[in-house]
Amino acid sequence: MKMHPWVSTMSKTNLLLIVTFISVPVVVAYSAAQLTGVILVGITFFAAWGLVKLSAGNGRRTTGDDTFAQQSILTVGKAQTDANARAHDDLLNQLKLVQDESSQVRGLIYETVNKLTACFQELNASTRSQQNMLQASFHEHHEQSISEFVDNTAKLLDYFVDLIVNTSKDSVYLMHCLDDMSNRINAVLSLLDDVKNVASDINLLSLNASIEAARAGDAGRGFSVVAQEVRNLSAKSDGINNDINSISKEVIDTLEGVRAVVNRIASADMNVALSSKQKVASATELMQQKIDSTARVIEETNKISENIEQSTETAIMALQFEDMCRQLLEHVEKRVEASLELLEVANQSVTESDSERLQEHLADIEKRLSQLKPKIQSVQHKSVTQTSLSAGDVELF
Amino acid sequence: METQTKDNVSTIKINENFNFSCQAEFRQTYEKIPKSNRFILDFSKTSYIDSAALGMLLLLKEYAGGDGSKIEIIKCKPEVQNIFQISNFGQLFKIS
Repeated sequence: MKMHPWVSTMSKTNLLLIVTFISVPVVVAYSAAQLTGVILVGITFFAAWGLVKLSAGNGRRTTGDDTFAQQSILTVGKAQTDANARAHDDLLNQLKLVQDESSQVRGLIYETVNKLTACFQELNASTRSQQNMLQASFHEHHEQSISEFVDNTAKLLDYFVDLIVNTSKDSVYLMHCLDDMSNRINAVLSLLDDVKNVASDINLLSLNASIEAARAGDAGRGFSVVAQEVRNLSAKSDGINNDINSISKEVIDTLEGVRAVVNRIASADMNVALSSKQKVASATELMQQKIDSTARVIEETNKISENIEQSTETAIMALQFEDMCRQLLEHVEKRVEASLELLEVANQSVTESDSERLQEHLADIEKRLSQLKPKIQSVQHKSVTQTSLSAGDVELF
Repeated sequence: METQTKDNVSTIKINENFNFSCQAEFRQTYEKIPKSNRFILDFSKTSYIDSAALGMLLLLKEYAGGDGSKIEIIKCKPEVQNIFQISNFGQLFKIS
């Protein structure tokens, strides 16, 4: 089955685009998470180390009574405090950078995923409208008009066949009439022959009358004139008879001419109509095949469109990873925030040099630590439990 | 055209070429048969008919009483049958 080439090209290009767009933020997010983890470990270690030191110092102070020893411990403690302060500043800077970068990554992912989602939705809509257009044009231009055309052609052919047959029937009937007319004219001609014989008899009779009148002498003179008149009338009748005869023969000739024309009208070769009908039938079949194949193509493109739709929906669903990444990044940021607070506590405790207020500060530190503990734990426990994108039904944006 | 009549059933054997030239002969043949008879037209010899032949058959139908006429066309060759078919003669005559 043929497919419009741009459909496949579009799909390929889009897939490439999608993979690129998705992989970049994922990698960025993953790297950020890794970095945060490392830094977090560093912070925890650093903070723990500070607390251990503090407790050790405190323990020694409660039991100690040697002033020199106390002095030397203070000197060492001062050096350590300086080093810690520098490390603390560096760590603080790094943590703030982590916080900024994590927030940037979150923004980037959010923006890109929104764009991608819009792209997929646009793709989906375009595919659907393209499909609708295809189907609409098929229904408009093919099924109706072609079947109408075929119907009309068949009707026209039937009409012509009927016309030919009826013309032939009328022509044959006309021929029957011409035959009847010829027969009647022939009957007239034979009657004219009889009339001719009668005229000939009258002529003979008038001749006999003239002879008898001459024999009668003067007494028959008048009768002789009558006989001559009768003879003239017979000759005249013969002339009229001849005229009628020749006109009748002309009529017969004319009828022969009409006969030839009627013959031409009446006799049509029906095989022409037959072959026309067969041609129409084969053309109809061809058109039907064309319609069927177009319908099949439409059906196939329908399936392809459905596939595209499904794929884009899956892609849109997969883009929900942004939500998870955002949550993870928020956790990272919370952890960094907690770490910053921890660091502050650690720094404060280490920089406190007044031994009289140490006890008080220690209590304060412990209080703040116990306040921070549930915050850290809550982040740990709330961290995203969903690790797979396929799990759970996610509504489209 | 040969004609055989038996028990008011008249069988006419149609010519090989049933065209316009047969019109007078065909007319003379059927006009000798009483209108109320059953007409059987035997086309076994016929391999060509033209439109005039169709016209002649229609005139025979009129002669024999139009829609109430009893006319049967038998033993048609396929080529003749095709022409009867495109002319829709199957609706007017019993053709086999």
